[in-house]
Amino acid sequence: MQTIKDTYQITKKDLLEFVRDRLRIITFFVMPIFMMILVGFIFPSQNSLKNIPIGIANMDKGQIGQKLTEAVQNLKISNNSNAFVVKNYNDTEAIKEGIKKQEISGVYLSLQISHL
Amino acid sequence: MDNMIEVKNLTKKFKSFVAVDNISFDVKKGEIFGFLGPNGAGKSTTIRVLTTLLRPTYGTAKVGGFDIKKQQEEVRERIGLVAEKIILYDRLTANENLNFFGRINRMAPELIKERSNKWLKRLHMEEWRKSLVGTYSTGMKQRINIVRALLTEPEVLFLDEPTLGLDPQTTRVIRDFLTELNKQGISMILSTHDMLEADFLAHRVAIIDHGQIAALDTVENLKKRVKGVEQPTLEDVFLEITGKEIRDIATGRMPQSGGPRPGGGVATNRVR
Repeated sequence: MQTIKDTYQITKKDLLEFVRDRLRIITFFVMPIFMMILVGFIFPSQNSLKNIPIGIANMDKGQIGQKLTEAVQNLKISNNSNAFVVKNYNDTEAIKEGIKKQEISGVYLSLQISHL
Repeated sequence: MDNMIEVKNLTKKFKSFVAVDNISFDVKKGEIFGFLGPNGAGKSTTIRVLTTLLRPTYGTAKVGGFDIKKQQEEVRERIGLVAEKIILYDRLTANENLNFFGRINRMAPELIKERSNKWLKRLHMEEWRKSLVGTYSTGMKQRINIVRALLTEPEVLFLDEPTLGLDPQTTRVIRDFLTELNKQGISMILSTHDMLEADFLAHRVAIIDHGQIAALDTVENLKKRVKGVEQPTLEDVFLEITGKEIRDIATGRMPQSGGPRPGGGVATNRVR
């Protein structure tokens, strides 16, 4: 019984530490996704990740935003499939709605960068 | 029981390196026992052995009447350790740290709260108790570290360089606090490089060198050993006994890394 109590205390302490460490949280969530995509690129198969639905809100008036959007749209993995299926949105709010409705699973935001 | 600690022929080896070489000494009840020595002399290793963090290679020791090899749990129930390295979690508040260490030591939440309140107030840390420990200065961390070691109200307190790197104000607060604790009957082993601190606090002092006890006596008697100095200090005694050459010793072991380990040392103390 005492072991269970100790385990509970240690788990509680570890979780508190975890949620307060931004870097650890980012690593915990982003790294597996990154690794999945990376492995999918290197070893493409029938089951590898392709045609991932993502949303883009291109709020850039210049050419850089447009070029970046095209680059993401045309990104191929090595078996010639598209890595992403891009759906265009007008603003970030529309993207949030898209995620809620499960139209897209990823977000790429092209910000106003041409003037930089 | 007159002696809180009895050490007999204690030896600790790391492969061929003899860190502690056949030492024997006693610490009386209510005594502050100073433990001095150059770097690598074996002070911290002795403290680790006595606090059951390391097993001795040969010899025996009793803490609070319990054998450090055969009755580790009983020993841990009776000791507190203020180690060189601060045993606290930076991403927890002082309250959360104390609550964690208290709970892991089988203490009731009310008791943890009562004792934390008492010691935090005494060490002027009450208003900081809800801030993350990582945001504290070294002095503040050390004061919380002392409170953590005192949560279980130990009979023997092991202090491994408790005022290392602290400003004079915090050092004074901690020294006065240790004197106050000693008056309440807590025995202490104080390992330090600060000769003034040992002179101020310790009733008896052992000077350890090359893993062996080179001298053991009261501060006054040790000072009488120094010839040719009008008013010898403890530093004169120390240099007379251990020499003036610099010691560089690599034990071949990496220092223990990471934060505090719930399975080791004071974290596994039990409240009676």
